[in-house]
Amino acid sequence: MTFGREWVLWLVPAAFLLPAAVRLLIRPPRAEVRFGAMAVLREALADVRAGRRYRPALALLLRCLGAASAAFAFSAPVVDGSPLPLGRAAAGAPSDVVFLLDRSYSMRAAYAGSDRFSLAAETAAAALRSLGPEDRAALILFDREPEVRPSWGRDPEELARRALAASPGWETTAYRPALEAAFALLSDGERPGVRKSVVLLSDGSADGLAGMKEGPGSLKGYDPSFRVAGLDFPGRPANSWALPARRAGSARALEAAVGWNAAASAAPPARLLLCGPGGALLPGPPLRRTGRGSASAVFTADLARGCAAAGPDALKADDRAYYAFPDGGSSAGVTVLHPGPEEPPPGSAAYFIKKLFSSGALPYAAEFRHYGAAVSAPASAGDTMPHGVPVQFAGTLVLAGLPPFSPEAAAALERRFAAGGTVVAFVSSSRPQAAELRSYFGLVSAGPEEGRFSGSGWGEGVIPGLSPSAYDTARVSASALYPLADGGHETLLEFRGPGGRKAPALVGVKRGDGRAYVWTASLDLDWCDLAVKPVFPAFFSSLLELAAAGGSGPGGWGSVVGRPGEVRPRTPAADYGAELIKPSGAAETLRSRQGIIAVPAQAEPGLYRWRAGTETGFYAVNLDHSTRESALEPAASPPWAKIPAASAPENLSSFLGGVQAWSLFMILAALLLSAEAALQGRRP
Amino acid sequence: MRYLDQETVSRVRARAMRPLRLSASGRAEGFHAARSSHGPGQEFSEYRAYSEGDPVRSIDWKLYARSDRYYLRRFSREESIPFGILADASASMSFAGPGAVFSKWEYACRFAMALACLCLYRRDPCGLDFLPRGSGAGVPRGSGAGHLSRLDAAFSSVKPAGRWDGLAGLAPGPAGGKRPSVFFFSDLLCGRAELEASARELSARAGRCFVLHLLDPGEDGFPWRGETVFSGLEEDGTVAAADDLEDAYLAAAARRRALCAGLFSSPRLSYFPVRTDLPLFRNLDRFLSGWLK
Repeated sequence: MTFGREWVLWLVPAAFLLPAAVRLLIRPPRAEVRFGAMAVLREALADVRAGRRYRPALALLLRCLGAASAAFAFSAPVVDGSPLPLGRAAAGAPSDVVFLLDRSYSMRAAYAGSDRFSLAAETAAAALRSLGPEDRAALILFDREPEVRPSWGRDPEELARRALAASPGWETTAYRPALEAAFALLSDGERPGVRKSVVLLSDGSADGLAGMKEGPGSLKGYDPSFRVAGLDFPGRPANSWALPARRAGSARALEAAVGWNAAASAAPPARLLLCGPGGALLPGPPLRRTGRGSASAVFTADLARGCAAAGPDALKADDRAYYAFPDGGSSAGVTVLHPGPEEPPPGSAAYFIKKLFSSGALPYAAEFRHYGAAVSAPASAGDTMPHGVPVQFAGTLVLAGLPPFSPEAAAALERRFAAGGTVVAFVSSSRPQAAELRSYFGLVSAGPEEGRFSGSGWGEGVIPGLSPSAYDTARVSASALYPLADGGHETLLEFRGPGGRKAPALVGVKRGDGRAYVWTASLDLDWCDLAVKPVFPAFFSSLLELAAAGGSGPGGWGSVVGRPGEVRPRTPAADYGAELIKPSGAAETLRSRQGIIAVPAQAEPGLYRWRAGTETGFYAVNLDHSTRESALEPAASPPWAKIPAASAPENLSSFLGGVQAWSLFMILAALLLSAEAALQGRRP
Repeated sequence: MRYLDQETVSRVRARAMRPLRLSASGRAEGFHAARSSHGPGQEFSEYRAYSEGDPVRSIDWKLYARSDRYYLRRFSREESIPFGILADASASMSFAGPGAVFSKWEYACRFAMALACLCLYRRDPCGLDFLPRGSGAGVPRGSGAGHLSRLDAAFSSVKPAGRWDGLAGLAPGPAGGKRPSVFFFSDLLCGRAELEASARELSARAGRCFVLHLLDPGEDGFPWRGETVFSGLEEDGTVAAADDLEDAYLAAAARRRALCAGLFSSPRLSYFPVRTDLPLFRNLDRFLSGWLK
């Protein structure tokens, strides 16, 4: 016996116990009567005692059984039929059957010496070949979307061959569009009176049920007479999967990560292998757990492209993750922009920063550029700052005084933030900066405020490594700063102003996927003496560490399967001439517009190569792990009848030829409740 | 009077004055069958042929003139018949079912007072006694003015209480002389043994006994719905029952009625069920009609 709504079976015990609980908890009020004919009453009691003693219990039992039968009926039980050809089993009632064959990448998981998809395809073929001459069938392959324009097949044998010839894809699962396509096909109304069924040949991934919280009844085209059944694979196999690597930390090191499901928690992968573009595996460091079901490892190997590998396990398709960073993107350097064009004058912020870098106190290389010089319009305004710094390739960008506002500068910063980049900014004391604070970082200030501000309020731990006990931060003082209106920022350090009033000294602002750190008092000596205090190297080093860790940094080129992406070459390509070379060696012409190469959705994961003019690069296409398809987690209570995969062809034929028994159990419930009412002496 | 109102008096008087039909034997006259006793009565009884020694003044000379034979006119002598009212004042008589106007006791008092009124119209002496013993002071037999008031006062002074356990404690009847006819009002709610003993006792004591069985619809039927806890008026303990007991109770009540009808139906005992939900005069008419048959 199979069930259309198996989850309702959980309600059967509750339905059975509910009347008993109500009986115990809610007792009707009992009247009390002073009575004369007690002898007659006792005589009547003696007459009925034997039957009466058990009557309430019997009535309660009947009521409980009636409620349980009704609940059982709601589970839509289907009594298995004989595995005869469907047309004959249905005794003259032909069927319309839509087979939904799941080709998502979770169907590649190993099962019984083969994989899930093979079993599903063979089941579909067997069921198709068992159809009678009066039956009608359709086969729809689906993953995130069903195949376009599904239609009824003319020859079941042809459909069976098509099912066996199909192969799983790399997309994730979504049942809703597939079921709606099947319902639309069944609702064509051409053959009224036939039995209509949907057979979902899928592993029932929990992630595929997104958008189906209310069950198939809420889907477009659903009819209660439709019967829906799906495969039920036993257990949940252990599986781990590699996640795309990224540049992380202040050193912009390569960090690769792996995730695993609950079944693999007992023995999660201990190492993650890294491989170069050719696929050669390199030994990696041990994984370090970063959360429940995930771990990461930081690699010293500076590979701009390649893959990270985990496993092997139930689903090998997700054991490799590909990455591709722009050439030069691994730079951990710092770019400092300052007013120019001359060298930074002594006492200015850029002067102290440059001096700090030249002293060798910081482990970073720094490049100093000035934004005051006349800069020719860049070839691609979308990719560089006005002063020619490529936005997405910069390590950490330090603004030693905010550049005068221009739409190009604002747009460039916005793009940097959108790409996960960070900016460290110091306001300038030489000219008003309130407009730039607002336009670049969204900080609201009425203008500079003069006074006597002290760093005595800096606390331990606000910036890692900056300890007020180690450095006499109270000796830091400022004579002016930009007070900020509340909201929109996080205050990291505060000055103590006149009368103990607090004023933000260093604030953090989230902008897009990136972050900005803004020093409100300038580093120019005429405003603040921080740059000449012993704490300055530690402060600046900590600030750079904070900036490096605060944003994810410019990412690599790539996308996930089925989604488009883009590539921005260093040299803006012409609007034609770009191409993508697939792992198989096939080439695809790409379109370039305003220096951006649009990469269409790709169907297969792997490391792709792109070429635009003389510049070449890599493009990584990975599986979409955002839906946790790799978790191989079956839906706990899918809204369809479960057909055990172990004997799927037989069970499927049984389901298709079976008889819906809900009406029988409803009749049984009505009979039981009527008997209970009769026993109680009530009118049913 | 508490248990006798003017309407009852008027209707009883009308009943008493109503011409009564004679039975086939001609014995019935009035509300009780007068015992045939020839003597200096007022009512002509029969002719008898003259025989020697008969008083001459009894000869019907007009008949002699017509038939040329001597016949004597004979007259019957009317005799008053003593009546007794025996009322069961046990606690169960205080029961009144849902919607009842009168309890069984109140209904019995009204019925008994109507019968007493009727007897006194017929110049038959009537007495009153209560069961169980000690329930209240009885009223000696009498028929004079104010006797009805004494009877009513006696009824009013009694409050049903205690348990009736038969007629064992009843004062013995008069030795010799006429044995009174008795109206026995009771709900007959006691054990079968007590009922049988009471039937024997009444047969032995009374000239003729009319057993008026008070039946309240709340006891004769089973109007209770849902879970009900019954506590006895004459006994301790409770019984919990539900409306599913109705059929069994009705059967038991019918058996009990049949038992009472059987025990109290004999040449000397007449059983008459009195449902207290019926108007008093309807029961009274039915009772008198049955009595006169």
